[in-house]
Amino acid sequence: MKCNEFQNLWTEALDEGLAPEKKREWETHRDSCPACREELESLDSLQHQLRGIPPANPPPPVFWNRQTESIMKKIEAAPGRRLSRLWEALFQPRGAFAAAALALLIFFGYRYFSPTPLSDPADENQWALQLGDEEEIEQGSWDLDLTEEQLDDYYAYLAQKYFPQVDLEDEFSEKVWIEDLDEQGLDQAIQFYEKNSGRRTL
Amino acid sequence: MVFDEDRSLIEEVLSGRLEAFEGLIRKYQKPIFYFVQRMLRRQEDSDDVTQKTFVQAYRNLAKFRFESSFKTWLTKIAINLARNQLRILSRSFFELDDQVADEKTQNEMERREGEEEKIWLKQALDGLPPTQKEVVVLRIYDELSFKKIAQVVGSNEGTAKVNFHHGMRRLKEMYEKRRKSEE
Repeated sequence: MKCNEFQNLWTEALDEGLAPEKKREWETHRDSCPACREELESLDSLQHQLRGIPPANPPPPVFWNRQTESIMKKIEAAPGRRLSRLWEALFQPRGAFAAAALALLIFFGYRYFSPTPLSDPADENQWALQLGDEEEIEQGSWDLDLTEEQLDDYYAYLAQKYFPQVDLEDEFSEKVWIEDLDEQGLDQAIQFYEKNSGRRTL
Repeated sequence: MVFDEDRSLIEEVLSGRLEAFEGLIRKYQKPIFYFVQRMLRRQEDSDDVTQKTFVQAYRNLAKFRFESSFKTWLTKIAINLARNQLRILSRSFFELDDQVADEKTQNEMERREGEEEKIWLKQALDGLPPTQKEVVVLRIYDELSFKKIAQVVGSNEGTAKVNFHHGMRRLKEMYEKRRKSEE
């Protein structure tokens, strides 16, 4: 084994990733080449020294409790949490699609309320299944694998179907993720949804 | 075992028992915080990014498919948030001034304790290009395999190894230069 190869295999050796024969060659070279051995020792020593650097300003013990409480408060207050309850409430035979329509209300905003006629599949399930995976649809994450164009089409279709009369321009002038809505924004979205779909959510 | 414990906590959270998430926070908040702190240095930023990491993890918990450990997944979220924070900090002179002031205080404390070499090494580590620093920190302090590091930083294993190797050699060269200048 040449010095160059020996050094290139250093990271493999660190993870015990060398095949037995290669490992023997590597160790033989290490034992017989003083320059490479010195290089290896200095890298090992450097790693050791780096490990000895303590974290800067270790926080006091009380910090961790405060941090935990703060995270839990944020989670409890997060619209996402309320959204998941909303999602559960909506999960009826056609509920997932109604919820997707709610997401559309915020996600694509007014831009998709164009008068351009869109194709209207007879069955929403069939439409969605053409685009996503059945299991993912049930989990509400079916849209993750879609292309942007497919998503645009689908949300635009839902927009026309569920929110034909809503003027969103005044309320949501730009694209916003539903997870980013504050309490008030989510309330507004729910009110829009309930008003226009005739369904109760929470 | 760790996987099983995490899995059951995650399933509890997904079934609506929010309190179970507290168990995940308590288990992983320290490693995530210290990792972020090594990337960002300032405690305030590190606390903020750690909190955001858990909030984002909670929001996306249903998308976690147990293909990696929960800790790896959390670190991946943390590294993305830390990168964003670094970008913000690099644009803000005031923030950077604060950061330098914080560092100075910390460094003075350590200097008093006769640990100049550690200070120098810490600064040298901070001076590495971010892609090399991330990998060195994950390897040295979080003791991750290169396979896991690749998952966390979003590269392949080979690239993670190359970045680690380059980072360490760069540190070694700087270290040797410093020692020679002191002699």
